[in-house]
Amino acid sequence: MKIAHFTLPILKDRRSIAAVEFALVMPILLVLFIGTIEILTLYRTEAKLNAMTINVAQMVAVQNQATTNGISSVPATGTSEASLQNICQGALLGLAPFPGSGMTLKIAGVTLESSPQGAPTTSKAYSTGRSYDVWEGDFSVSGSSCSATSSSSTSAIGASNAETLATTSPPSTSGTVGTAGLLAVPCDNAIIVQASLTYPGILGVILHSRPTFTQAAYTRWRYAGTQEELQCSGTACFASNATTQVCNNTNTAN
Amino acid sequence: MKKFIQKYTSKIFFLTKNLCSETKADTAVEFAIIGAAFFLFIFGIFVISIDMFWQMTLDDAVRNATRQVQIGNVTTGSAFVTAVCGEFGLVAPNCAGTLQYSVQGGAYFGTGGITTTSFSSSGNLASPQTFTGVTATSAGAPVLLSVQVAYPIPFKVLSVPGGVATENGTPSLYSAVATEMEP
Repeated sequence: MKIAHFTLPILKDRRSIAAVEFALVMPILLVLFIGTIEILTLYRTEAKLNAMTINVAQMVAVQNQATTNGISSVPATGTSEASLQNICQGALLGLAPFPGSGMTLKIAGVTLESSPQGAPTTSKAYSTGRSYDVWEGDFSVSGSSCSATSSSSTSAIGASNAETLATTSPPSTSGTVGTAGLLAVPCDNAIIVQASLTYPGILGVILHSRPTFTQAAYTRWRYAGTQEELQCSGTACFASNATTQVCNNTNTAN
Repeated sequence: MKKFIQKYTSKIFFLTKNLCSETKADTAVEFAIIGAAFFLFIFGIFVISIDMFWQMTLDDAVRNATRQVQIGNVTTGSAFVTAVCGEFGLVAPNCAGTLQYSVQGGAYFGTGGITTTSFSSSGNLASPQTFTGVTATSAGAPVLLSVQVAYPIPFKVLSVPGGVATENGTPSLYSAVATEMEP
């Protein structure tokens, strides 16, 4: 009874209970609601980026191989022809409705040279150290357009990293070059695509730090010819058909 | 006449005064007021949930249909709709009737190659039944592929703006893929 005497009249008021309860619960519900949408969108963005990366790798793989200094590659720039830049531009269409602004796309190709230390018919084709031809094209997206960035910058994949990624299994830059992976026989080749995108967020009320998604895809040139190689293991040598892109024995790239 | 008005005015006033000071079932009355907002919110959750579910199913259906186009199983617009709606139509009403699509093949993205169909703010593709230039890649002649699909949401709940529910600012779900034609 004494406590009741000291209680403010407003606390004894039984009116508007539903309204007050609603006001208490609403903020929690709202956070749950917006948070659910945010997380769903986040995962969808990641799924879209993953699909896009694989599609970029496929688009590069079917291109004609233009040969520069004996290295097969796709022209880096040009938006009115098939080029890496044009493929990047097309890939953004597949990322829609999510904006690609801020995305980086790195594309590299690695080929194991045909016979690093001599002509295939007279000596062991790859019994000695391996040599690789590497090319790279990097792009960054601003607004809705892809522009080429220097492949010599620190953010690029880099020739030695590309070689390691192509010749380790699973692909890792910390592995030992030439142990496994895509480049098993001379003239084998690998295309490496790496994409990274920082999730832009919907409202910015739930996620304060924006996660960055990265995804990599590996493939080979689709149009590889075959080249007969003399491949030796120990003392035994045998003729073998290796699938090849334009493949040389001059160490021009690296 | 004056007397009549006076009589009834005072009666209505008396009645209103009584209702206002009536405290029985006040919680029920409050819930009727607050509940409207509350249920609108709950329905908003339903609408967004089903839109997101549709969006993910549509993404998957378009990706699978695109694969069928890539490998040459789907060569016409109607076959493409059948392929998408075979999966998406199980959950979304009137898929075959309302699905808009633009499937284009070409050597590159841009004028003279693949000119992608614009997707308007009203949620429509500029040319909603496009299926052109889709040929297999052959040696030395690579063909790239662009697939765009829009599905206008068949119903709206006014508490949820259409552009929010579909995540793209329009009242239609949208899904797109850019890839290549297989040899």
